Amino acid sequence: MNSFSKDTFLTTEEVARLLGLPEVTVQRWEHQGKIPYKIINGQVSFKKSEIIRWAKAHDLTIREKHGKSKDLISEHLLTDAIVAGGIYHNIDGDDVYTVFHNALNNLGFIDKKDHDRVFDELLNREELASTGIGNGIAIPHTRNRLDLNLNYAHVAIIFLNKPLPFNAIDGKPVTVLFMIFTTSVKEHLKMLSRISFVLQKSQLKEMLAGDIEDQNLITQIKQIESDAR
Amino acid sequence: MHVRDQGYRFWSDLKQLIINSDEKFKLGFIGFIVGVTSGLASVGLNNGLEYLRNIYDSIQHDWLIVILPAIGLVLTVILLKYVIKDFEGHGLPEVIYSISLKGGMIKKRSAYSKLLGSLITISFGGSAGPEAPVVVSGSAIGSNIARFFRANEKIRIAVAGSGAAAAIASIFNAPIAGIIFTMEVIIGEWTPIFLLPIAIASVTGTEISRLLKGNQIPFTHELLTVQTNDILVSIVLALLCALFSVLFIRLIRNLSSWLDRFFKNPIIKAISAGLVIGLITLFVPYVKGEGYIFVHNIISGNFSAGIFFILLIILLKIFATSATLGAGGAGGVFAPSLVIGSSTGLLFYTFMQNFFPDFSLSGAPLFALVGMAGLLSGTLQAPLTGIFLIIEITGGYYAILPLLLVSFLTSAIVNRFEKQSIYHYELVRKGQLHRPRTDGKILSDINPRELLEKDPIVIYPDLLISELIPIIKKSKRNYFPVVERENKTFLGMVYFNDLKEFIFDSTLVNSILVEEVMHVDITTISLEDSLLEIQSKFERTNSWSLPVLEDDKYLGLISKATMLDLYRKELKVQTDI
Repeated sequence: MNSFSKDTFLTTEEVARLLGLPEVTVQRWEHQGKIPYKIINGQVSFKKSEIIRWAKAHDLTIREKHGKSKDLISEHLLTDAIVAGGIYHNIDGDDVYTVFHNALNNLGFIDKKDHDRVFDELLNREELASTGIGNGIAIPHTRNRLDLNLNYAHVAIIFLNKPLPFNAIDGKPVTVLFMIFTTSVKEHLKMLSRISFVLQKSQLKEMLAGDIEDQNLITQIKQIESDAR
Repeated sequence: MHVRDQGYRFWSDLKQLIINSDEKFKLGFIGFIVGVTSGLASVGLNNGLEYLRNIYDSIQHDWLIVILPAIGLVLTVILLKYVIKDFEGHGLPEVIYSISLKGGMIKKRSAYSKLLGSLITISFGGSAGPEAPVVVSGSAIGSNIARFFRANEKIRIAVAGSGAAAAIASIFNAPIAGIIFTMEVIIGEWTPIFLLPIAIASVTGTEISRLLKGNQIPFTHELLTVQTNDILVSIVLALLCALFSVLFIRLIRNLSSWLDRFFKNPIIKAISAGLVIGLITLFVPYVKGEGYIFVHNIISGNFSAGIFFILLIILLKIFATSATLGAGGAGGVFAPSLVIGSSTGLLFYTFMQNFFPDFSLSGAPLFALVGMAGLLSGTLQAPLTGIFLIIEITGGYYAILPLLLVSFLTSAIVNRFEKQSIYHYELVRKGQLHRPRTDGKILSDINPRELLEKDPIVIYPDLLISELIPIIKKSKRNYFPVVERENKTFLGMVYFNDLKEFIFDSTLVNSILVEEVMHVDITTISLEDSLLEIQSKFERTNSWSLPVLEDDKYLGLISKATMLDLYRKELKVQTDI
């Protein structure tokens, strides 16, 4: 290889990816002499700098990073979020205000100074529509996405001391809260579909109703989440 | 009363007849009228210039020569800016713009505004050419005659171009140069249907000027023979022509913005620039006006000077023209290019005579002629115009070899440094130059409103997902714009794809709101966006459909598919030309 040239050479496939086009199109352009190429060792090669100049001259968009990385969402989104958020027992309170207040005091990942904002936003959301999704479970979350300095989703599972009237869809009082904090719409959407999937499993419904070790619960959720994929 | 009615009936019947006539006949007929009127405009301006030049030449006082250009510039600025209100630009780019983007529509007052302005600017001693004003006027007359006969876009463009052809043809007594100038510079496309009216107008314009002024060749000269030596050294002349062309293009472009930075008031700017031009004229009178007589003297071999003086003339002419136009004078760069070009040829010849006296060359007039073609090729990026103008001026093909060589070499070298001609630079910078049937032209013709899709169902942020389900069932699409219930402010988009993993969870859907599943970081389109911008928004966001907003209010969606569909239809319609 020529050691002077710092140019990288690309294959047809790489050029296609760079320009966001099907490989066959690049091949056709090469046959029709529309795109500059070289033959190196009998192989069609494209000089990267030349292709970029050519694309600019023809007003074609170049994808600087091949296959733009989508927001990375963990395989075990819910499990990771629960591990980060924690599981809490015996949270007391006769109404939603007290319960939310007591719950927040337990959540170490939320800064004290943010408590008031989070509290208001949680209630704000409940006023629009109850997050009680039936079977004694609710999924409270803030109405607007607050900047809480979280790098990824946190879910706190909160077991209540006594059943709380929550205006849920099935009218049953709530005993477990899945309090959700997400960092983007994408993550929120993914989280909703994971929770929906996990909570439909009957073994989990039973576990939440009964007495269960935290570690077991997490293992179980991780197992179900793996099956989901 | 009755007779007048009948007379009116006759004219309106005739107009109807022409409006309904065959397209080719209409083109030819309008071309003829445009040729007559443009020819008259050109003869009128030239007679005016000649008359006023005689007065100017009889001036005895130096101080008058110094202040006259300033007075001329001030009068021009007042006339064009405040009285006629047709000030912006030096004319030709607007004609190209109207043909490129406005379907050949040119405002009526352009038919006389630049003509009057240039008469004042030039005859008071400003350095500018009368060709551009005559071309603008001819095109404006053509465009408005075409509108009078309700001609379509194609005819309007052809006829506006005809006006330009007739103008050049009648100024230089050069019908072919008129046709080629129009095709090369104004329309930029060689289409047979355009040629018919342009040729007719060119012939008519030339004939009008011959009838009124006699069949005179504007730049008479002695016949010369071209030797191999002349052709060889022409290559060097091309380099020189390219150098001065680039200098001219850059100074024209930059001096006006420098002047704008120093002088906020247009009147003070005109006075200052005018006084400088006046001072230059006092010492080097060859730079004043359009310079036809100076060119004539060079070509007929009646002018010679030292190398440095000729170089000085070239540089001062470039400066004086840039200053005249930059300070608001009316006129063009065609005649100044001829002055610079013929001086460049003379400079080159004088140089060769001084340093290589044994190298036998044909004579100064040949190089002056070739230099003119070189400068036209360089500044206007119009090599064919240069070649044919010189051929018609000289009345023969004997100089064709050096002409071809210098024209195309100069044009190629200048193109290396300046991609656009003086005329096109501004338009290209503003994205206003689109040749027919090009991607840019088609995209710029289509208005975003034409692509607006209003059928997507709009949803509100306070809906539960369970309430969204019946809407999804009804909708033909899988995305939904979200707007505020009261004032229709756009909030975001909901994509069915995002919901499908939990939409069958009958309990969850009753607890989730639209507002928490909508995407808010959406790139939006405004109605002012050009299709080019919209296209690039699609590419950037990699999406198929984007919302259109006006003052934050949702109007509809534009999708790539509709765009392609309309693009193809537009392309088919345009190919009809």
